[in-house]
Amino acid sequence: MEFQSILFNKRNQYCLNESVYEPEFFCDLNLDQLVNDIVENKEEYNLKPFFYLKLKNVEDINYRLDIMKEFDNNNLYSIMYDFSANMKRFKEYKEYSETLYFDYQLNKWFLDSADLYCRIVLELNEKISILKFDSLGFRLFQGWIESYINSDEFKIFSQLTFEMEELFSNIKYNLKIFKNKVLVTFEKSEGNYCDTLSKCFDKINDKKFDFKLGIFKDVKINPIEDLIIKAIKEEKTELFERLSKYRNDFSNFENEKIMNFIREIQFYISYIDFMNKLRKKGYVFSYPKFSDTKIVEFKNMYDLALANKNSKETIIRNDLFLEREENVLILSGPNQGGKTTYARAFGQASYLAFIGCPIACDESKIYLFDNVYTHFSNDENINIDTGKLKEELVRLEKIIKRITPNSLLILNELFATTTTYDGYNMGKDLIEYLIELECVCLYVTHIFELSKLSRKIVNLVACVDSSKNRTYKILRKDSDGKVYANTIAEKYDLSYKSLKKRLSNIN
Amino acid sequence: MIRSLLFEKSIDEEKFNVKEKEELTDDLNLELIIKSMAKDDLFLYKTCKEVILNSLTKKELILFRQSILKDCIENKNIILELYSVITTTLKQSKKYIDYTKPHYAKVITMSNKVENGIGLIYIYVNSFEKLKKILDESKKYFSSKGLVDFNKDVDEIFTKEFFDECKYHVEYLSNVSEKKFMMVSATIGKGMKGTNYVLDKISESESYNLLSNIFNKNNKSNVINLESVNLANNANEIIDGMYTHILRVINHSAKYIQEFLESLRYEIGFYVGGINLYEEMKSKGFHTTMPVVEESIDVVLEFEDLYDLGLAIDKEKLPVRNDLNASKKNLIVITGANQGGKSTYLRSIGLAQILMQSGLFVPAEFYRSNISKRIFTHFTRKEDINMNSGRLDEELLRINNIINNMNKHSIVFMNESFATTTEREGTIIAKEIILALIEENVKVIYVTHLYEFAEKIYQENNNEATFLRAGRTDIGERTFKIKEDRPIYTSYGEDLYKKHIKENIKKT
Repeated sequence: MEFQSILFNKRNQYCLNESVYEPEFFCDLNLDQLVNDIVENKEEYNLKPFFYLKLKNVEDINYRLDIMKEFDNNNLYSIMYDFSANMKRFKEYKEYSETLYFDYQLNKWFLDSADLYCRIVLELNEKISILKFDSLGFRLFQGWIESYINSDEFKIFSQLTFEMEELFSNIKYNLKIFKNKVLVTFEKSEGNYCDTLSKCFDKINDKKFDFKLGIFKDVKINPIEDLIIKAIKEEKTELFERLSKYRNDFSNFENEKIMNFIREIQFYISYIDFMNKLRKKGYVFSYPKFSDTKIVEFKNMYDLALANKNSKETIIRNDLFLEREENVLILSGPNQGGKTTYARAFGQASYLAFIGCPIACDESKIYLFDNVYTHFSNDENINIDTGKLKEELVRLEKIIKRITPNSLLILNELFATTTTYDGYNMGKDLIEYLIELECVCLYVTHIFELSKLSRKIVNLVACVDSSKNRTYKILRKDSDGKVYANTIAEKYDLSYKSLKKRLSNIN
Repeated sequence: MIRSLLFEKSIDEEKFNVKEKEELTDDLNLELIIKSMAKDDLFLYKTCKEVILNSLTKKELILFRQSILKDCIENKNIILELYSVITTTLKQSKKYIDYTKPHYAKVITMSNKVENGIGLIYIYVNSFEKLKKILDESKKYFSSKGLVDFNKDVDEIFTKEFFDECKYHVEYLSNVSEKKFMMVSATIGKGMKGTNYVLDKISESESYNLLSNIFNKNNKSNVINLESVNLANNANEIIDGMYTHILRVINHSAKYIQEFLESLRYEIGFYVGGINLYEEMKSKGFHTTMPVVEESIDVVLEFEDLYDLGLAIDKEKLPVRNDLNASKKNLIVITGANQGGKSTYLRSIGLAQILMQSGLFVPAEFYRSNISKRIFTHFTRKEDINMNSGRLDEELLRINNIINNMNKHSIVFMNESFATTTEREGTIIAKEIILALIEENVKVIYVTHLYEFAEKIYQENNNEATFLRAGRTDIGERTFKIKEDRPIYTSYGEDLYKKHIKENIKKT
């Protein structure tokens, strides 16, 4: 099997062009914000389509997850990070070689970009050739890049490039600057005055002096530089001519697979960066596992978009378990009790698993649903409003037409804009249909009577503690809270027992 | 590199970020002592305060400072002269530093800036020569390792060659603006742009130039005439670049030298503070001693004629002195009469301990104590600043902060802690906290009115504690002497009541 793509096991199964749109549920699940944050500062790679495309089978997902795991190992990450940074520089050089003014300038940038390209590719091969990969994707890439750099085409090209680059960098010249003229000469230098000056104080100053003098930093060539280069050209005519020929001979030296690779690995890099940012705040990610049957198990899942906004780890985590034969979960409880957050966390974790990303929970197992559908009320203000009800029903209709027994559905406060009586009746009808269809559905509602419709329904409640404070814990119904008595000293962890424990841990 | 006079490279001193510094300063009345050290020199004030509050925890390092301090006290004129040379230099150099920044005032040409920069170097070199001279004449008087090593380093670095080389550069750069031409070399870099610009020389003579002209005589294209403004500007840019480079080198070194002089001023400043305090105490007849330092694992506290230096300075006379031998005891409980000198006593120990751990002498005839890894005070505050939490809450919060920052072998000076609640509750809390502390090798010196607590400890944990009591004479007068004695119930509050209330009632 030959290496195709680092994102797709079998690339041709996916039509990946610019017409991939943001899925409809992105906004409801706050995935839009999340993806915006993940791809921030990587606009040039146009990564969003990769996040919009749900994978079709578990094999494809595992292809990615395995690669993601390799990235999660620091070594490979930093190799790829450096590779990306270098490639960015390469693209910059390449652009100069096409857009600047003087011929000698364009030619030299072309040579410089080629030189950089060869060195980047060789370095990448060198770095990854010694690694042992578990993922199919990197094993294939490893083999491919080795054969690429050993191809005659690459060998001839890189050798010539290095030779040319060296010839140019060996040119040394002097400028003697007087009040009214500058002499360009080629003679031996007398030494470096600033070095001598610097050495004088070395004895008392052990901090290394590191100063890179920049003269004429602009990429453009100014009048005096032009005259200087012309004086040099006069001296090295032949070399300048060789450079023009070189450029004509190798006008398309970049390899397409390398160029695709550089874009596609940004998917992993951006996600790893995002995870590490959250990990620093104390959040945990885990690699999803897949099940052949329609079950869902999320342990300690949390809302990633919310976590991303929080400054430190303070979020409440919740479980979601759905066994075989269970398909409809009804979540009720007080307003602002964490219901919507729970629904979002569920949707996000599921979808991110389907595109091959680690997800926001401790452990998970999930069925690869054929699609995700969500319906969130647009407005948290709950007023009776027939216009809104109609709009809601139109949206719901579209979903109902498309769902299959293998779909995942998240309905958040449907019919909230109508009366409780109507809401109950419509909800009842819909839930009965969903039970029959056997698709998996999380149904969030304030109408708790709906949970008593059928014994097949799994009931979830957003909990309150004994003093009616919201805990944001979502539990299967048979739960209860606990109250602890505490003394003032215990409040500060200053009882004899806890002090002994604290003090025995100090140095 | 010149070795430090406050720290030794071979001794790995732990550095703590002390948040409770202000509390420590207030509780122990450190301010008065630091002011005596500073003698109105604001820099000395800050320096001494910082050094004292960053207690040392290594015996060797304390001894290192003690021996330097002894040398300094014996040769105070040399040390004061060094301090004054450094202070004067820093005053002069500050004026120059701004002028030499490459971005400072565009109207000043780069060549002028270089000239200013080299002027700054001249000031430094001049000052080094003075320091070297003072030290050359006086090094025979020093015996401490710190000062001997310091001298050695100075000799090694400030050699004749060094001064000669410096003077050569001072000469070379003093009038660059008047020189004829500059020679630069470069190579070809990315996009054919010149790179690696290096200054070969700035020259007065053209003879060299004539010679090379002969070689290139027929090669006309090698001469660029700066006939247009653009070209002339470009050429100037190269020249300014070279000057910038020189300035960077100068500034890099100057910055380091400035830092070096500042830190030298800081280090010597601490000893100048020591000299000042010593002289003041001597003139008032207050006795001092170099404390005997013991390792932190040994539990030692032993002293003779210890007094509260803050009180002595404030009242300008020697206050009550006390003796104690409380070795092998992690807890000292001090009870007794109100206004009986308990707080003063507690303060005198705290002060001696913190002075000892900065390397200074202490106000006593004899003082021997083990190093405490961290020094904390927990004094009842006159008022609770934060009205949201109860006063007990506030106290416990502070204890909690102390424990968060605590290390084994720390010491806590507690003054009337847990007096903000009922005696019963206070006793329970105090017992839990203090027993846990002393069992985990934290020394606690506790002034308290909680008789129930003191009595309980006396009954149950007698072996681990020393009990002291503020005494009074048989006729009820306070002696302000604190002596070893078991706690007894009356706290002599009635004495105060008698003095302030009853006697006033009688009079009227």
